[in-house]
Amino acid sequence: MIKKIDRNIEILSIDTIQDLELAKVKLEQL
Amino acid sequence: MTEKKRKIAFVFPGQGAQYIGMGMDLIENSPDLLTPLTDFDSENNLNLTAIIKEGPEEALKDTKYTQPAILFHSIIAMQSLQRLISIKPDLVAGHSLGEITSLVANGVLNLKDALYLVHKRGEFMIKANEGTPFAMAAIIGLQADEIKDICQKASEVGLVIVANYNSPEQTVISGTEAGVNSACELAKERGAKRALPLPVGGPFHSPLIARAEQWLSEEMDKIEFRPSSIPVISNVDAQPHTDPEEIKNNLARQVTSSVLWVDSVKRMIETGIRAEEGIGRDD
Repeated sequence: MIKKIDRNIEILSIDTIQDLELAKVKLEQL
Repeated sequence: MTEKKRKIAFVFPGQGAQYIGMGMDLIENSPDLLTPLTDFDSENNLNLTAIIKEGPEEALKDTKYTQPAILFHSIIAMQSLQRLISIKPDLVAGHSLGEITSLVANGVLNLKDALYLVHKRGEFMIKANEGTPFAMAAIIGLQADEIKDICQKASEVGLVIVANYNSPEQTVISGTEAGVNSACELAKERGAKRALPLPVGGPFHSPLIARAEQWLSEEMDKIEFRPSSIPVISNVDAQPHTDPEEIKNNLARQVTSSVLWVDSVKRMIETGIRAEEGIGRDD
């Protein structure tokens, strides 16, 4: 799950395999 | 012009994030990640692996099992991520027991010692208060300063303090049953949206469990805390720390002190963190 809490900070919450895939994509964009 | 490197914090949850089956799809994907937990069970004559997989719910809610279960889940989620992508945190932090998880992430503790430490921590936090009627409650929709003032007034009938500054909207209080009940009434009178009793096993983060602080210190003295170049934001002061002795002292104090989570998040933002890996269940 990805939550943008304000313009400064985004939370990528990792609990399951699907979360991992989402986080991987997001982190590769950084 | 080169864009400044984005900083990443690994942030870990505290108690309340547990559920039966937690992390099992991660284990299915990488079965070897389970080994430290089965070893922990064998060495300590426990059955935490079975409790996480199958319950019962009451056992998983028992603090001495809840804490290592959450820590383990958080660590296997982090390890699974690190198998997918090369990533290291610039900073770590964790809410309450999550602070100990964060010390595995930055290399201050090894996983085996951390599992043992949170298991004992959970046991001590209950045992320290045996016999005294206690309560904890989440106050929603009232400023933290006002709740602090309410706790001072309510302490005339029984000790109650702010346990967790969780968000600008939510503050948790802890103490004697009489003190917490009185504070909840006062909070509602002053306009709190809700005052929710929390189903916990002790008055966590309050002086009522001072003995747990002492017992935990004694356990920590048996464990190696290694230096790390990756700072941890401590719950007790919302400041970054790398010195193992400071980290250890802060962990002991944290048992009876307020968790300064709002200030910790502000501190992370001030240090330039732009993405947090909230590892473990988003509670």
